[in-house]
Amino acid sequence: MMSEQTMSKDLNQLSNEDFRLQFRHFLAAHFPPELRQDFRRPFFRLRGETERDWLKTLYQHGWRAPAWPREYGGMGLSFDKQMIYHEELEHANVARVADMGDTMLGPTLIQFGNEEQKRYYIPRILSCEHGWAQGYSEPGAGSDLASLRTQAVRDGEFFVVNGQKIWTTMANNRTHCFALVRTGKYPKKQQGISFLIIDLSSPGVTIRTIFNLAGEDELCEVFFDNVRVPVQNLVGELDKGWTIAKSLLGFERIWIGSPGVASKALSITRQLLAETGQDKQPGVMDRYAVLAADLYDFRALYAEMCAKAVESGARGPEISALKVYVSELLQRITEFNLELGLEHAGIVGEVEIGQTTFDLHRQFMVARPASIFGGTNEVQRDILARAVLEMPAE
Amino acid sequence: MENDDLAAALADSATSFIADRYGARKLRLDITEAQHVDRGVWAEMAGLGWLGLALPESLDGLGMGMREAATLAEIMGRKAVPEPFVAAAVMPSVLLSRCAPGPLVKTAAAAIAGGQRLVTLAWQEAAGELDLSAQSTRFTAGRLSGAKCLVPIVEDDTLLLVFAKGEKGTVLLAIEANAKGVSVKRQAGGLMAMATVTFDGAPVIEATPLIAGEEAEAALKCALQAGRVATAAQLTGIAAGALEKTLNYVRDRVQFERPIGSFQTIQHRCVDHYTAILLAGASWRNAQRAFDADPLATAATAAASAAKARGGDAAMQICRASVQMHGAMGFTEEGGVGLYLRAAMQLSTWLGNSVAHRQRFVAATAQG
Repeated sequence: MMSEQTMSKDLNQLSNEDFRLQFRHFLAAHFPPELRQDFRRPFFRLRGETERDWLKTLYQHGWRAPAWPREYGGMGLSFDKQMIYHEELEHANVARVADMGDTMLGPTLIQFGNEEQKRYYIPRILSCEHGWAQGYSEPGAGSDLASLRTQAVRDGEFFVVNGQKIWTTMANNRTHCFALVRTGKYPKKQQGISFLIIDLSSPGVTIRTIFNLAGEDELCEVFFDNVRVPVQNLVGELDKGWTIAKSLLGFERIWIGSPGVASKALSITRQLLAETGQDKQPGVMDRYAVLAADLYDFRALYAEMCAKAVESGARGPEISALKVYVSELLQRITEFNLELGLEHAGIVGEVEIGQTTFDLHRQFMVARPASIFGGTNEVQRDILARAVLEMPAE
Repeated sequence: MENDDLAAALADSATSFIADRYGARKLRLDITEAQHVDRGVWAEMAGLGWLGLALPESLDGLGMGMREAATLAEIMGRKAVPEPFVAAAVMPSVLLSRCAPGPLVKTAAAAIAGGQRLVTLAWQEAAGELDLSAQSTRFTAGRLSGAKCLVPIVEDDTLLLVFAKGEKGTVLLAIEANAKGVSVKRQAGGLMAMATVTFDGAPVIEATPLIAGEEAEAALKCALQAGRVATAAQLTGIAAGALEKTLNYVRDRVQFERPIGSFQTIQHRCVDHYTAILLAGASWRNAQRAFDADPLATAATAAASAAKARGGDAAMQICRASVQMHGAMGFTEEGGVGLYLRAAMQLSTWLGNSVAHRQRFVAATAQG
């Protein structure tokens, strides 16, 4: 289980400021400048080979898996250092990654996996030998995830899997997926679900790419046709996978609510205001002021809630309010950017405005699913109404 | 940590005191009659140490920062308390704390802390002014001439702290509201009465200004900043109080054989209001920290303006929606939502409305 990264010194020993500077120096020296986010690609995300190369670079220098315990090869950072880690990535305009191995599978295996699973998979997540996709949603199970129907039937030392997953981000670039599958029949639909690791090169797996409105081809459908999965790929107890899925979604919600992306969008706004001279129009500036103040106050709220999470370890349902608000703020900002772009807003692709190259279509489209993925904002509001405001159910 | 405990203890005792005194309210049906401060409760608040908490120890105050003052203001907001804690305690305290502690300053400070009489600031000469602008009020040969508007709680015994232009620049003077040559036109406000005060060669208490020149301007800036932060907290409380009242109503009100609070459209609106309150709380606490770090810094101006706009908009948005969610009952005076709505209308605009503060926020952040 010991990995090269574990040998590195414990960065928690550093002061927050020193830690920040070290990571900043590392990013300046090692992240390829041509892959940085800019006005053309404000929310740029790496994939395939470039993504793997970057994750490997992080790993080789001891900067991978910030939240994992050190004994599993992670950085074992305290929560406030994790915050700094994320802030510095944002600050340096480092392209994002969809690293489900780090953020989702690793913590699950550490909490629910058996020794053999940990020993086999954990180092391969870190070294990028395996790349991971998350197989949760299905055509009939989106916001209502527990309605999932993909079936795994025991046959000797195997599960035979049949069914279909959808919105499986980057399945077309990944070697494995972790999936929720139905293994038993119970009165409640949350029961009888299991958490299964599936090798995507198995016979019977078909992957189809879905093109999205932003012109990306990251989303996929994954079909399972009598796919044989070894029983040792079951994580946690049979039929108890829902608990695992739920506990996973707990921690990640605070990062999904981060102001980083909205803040990038507002930097586009400022650039557009300057390049188009609309910063001289009081009416336009009043509307800019609303968005700027919204982001400013949201940062204060985010810092407050993170501090509370550090202090109490509590990650209650109120954290969902962050994601709901910031996803809609991001959308409002990107909509405003279209207005500032005037007729350029109708162009699909890059446009020159003043001295700067923008991609107005893309920044707008990329913001659309922010209120959909990770549980739609409507569902999040339902949860907040019941769990926080104690409003009556039907 | 000790401060945290102190603040928490203060908040607890304040919450129960306010609930006790303002739990069941006598509603005013003559809403156009200018309000008077309830001197009984005001004296009780003085007895609890609230009115002097923002005064420095050199003026026999508790020397607490903005945190406690704003926390109290938020708690008062929750019950739409009309007593002018911000206008007649926080703001004059911050102003006097920057003056040299001469006898008159000490008398005024004692009046604030003791709650025997009201002390208020008269600085504004036109709606929309965020800072001291061109002063038409003059101070010559011991007498004041000119007019001030939007002066809160001017009653017979009010001590006015007036900004005027003297021979060598800005001066701060104290004058009795019932002095000869002072005329007062009072109007009802959404929460507290406001007055236009005209000075016609009116004699001040002492010809020597309490503070003068740039220092006087800085002192006013501090007092306004403090007033805005505390008002932002009060508005957050008003928003939270209105939401709480509304949640109680929609949980109980049955139509179509179910509580209307079970309808998704009601639930989602309430969730958005809840988030607006979270933001308003984070925003005033951010402004309070900036104020305590350096009240005259540009960062404190940006933060105070952001908080004032945020609190004002949150309170207005939630109070308007509360009227709607209470149905026809929301439009009645006895429904009680109006207390919150009118309080929000006044406090969201007093000391600068949200549009003006967001402009100021953008200007301050562009500098910083």
